[in-house]
Amino acid sequence: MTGHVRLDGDQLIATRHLDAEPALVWEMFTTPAHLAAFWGGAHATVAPDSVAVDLRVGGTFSLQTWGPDGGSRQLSFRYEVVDPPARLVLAEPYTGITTDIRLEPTGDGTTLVVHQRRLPPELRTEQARTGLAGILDRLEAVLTARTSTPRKGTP
Amino acid sequence: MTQTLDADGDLDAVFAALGDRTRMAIISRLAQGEATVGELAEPFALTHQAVSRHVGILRRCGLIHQRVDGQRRPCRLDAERMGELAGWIGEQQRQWESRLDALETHLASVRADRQR
Repeated sequence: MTGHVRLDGDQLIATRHLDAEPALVWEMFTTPAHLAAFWGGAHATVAPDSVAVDLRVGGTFSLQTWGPDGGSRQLSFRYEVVDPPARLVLAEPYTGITTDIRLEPTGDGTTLVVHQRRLPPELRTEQARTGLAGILDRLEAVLTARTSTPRKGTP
Repeated sequence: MTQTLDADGDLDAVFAALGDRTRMAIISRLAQGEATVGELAEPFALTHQAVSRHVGILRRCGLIHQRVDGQRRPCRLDAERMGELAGWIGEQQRQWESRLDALETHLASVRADRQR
């Protein structure tokens, strides 16, 4: 198993090599029973009968998650791109988050690449992206420096 | 971290504030230390007033603070607020990592079932 997450400009990227061919991974991401089995990860459970998949551009993917504290959340996405078994783009209208899921055949398995974007249109330029990436890099340095010196240290 | 950048309004304001090259550059400059509006204006072909306006936008969404020091009004980056922004991004990453872990486990059981 290999996997890592990195930040590239405005996009959050998760990549993971999966020991299954793209067609099977595609099935996992587009079939209610399979989605219910993994979408909540370790932090939530998903009731299989709450998952609705209308797999076409403009169609809705919705589900209900239950957290460990018993709280539930209704999630709803709109399919922006449906290109089996290679690419799925989901938009969450409420938060404005766009999730781009790509499946690439590699060896005897699939490399899954997830991009997330949550930005107003004016930030969707190459310059802005590069700028934000740089700022977040520098931010890390600032935060590291701050924790090693007293905060609010102005006498 | 006691507070989070939740709600969409907050986060939208921060991203909108960062969606400008001049404001990005101001943040970058402040990442190296305090600076007055005059000092911030130096690298740009902008008036003092224009830079003041950008500083106001960054201040209102909490990314920078401005303190009074005699005649000077130095600006300073709010590391905590910037940390919240980084924290939101980290939370999204953790959720996907956890989801992909669960996918791997689920895939293994699906494959085992189908080979039976």
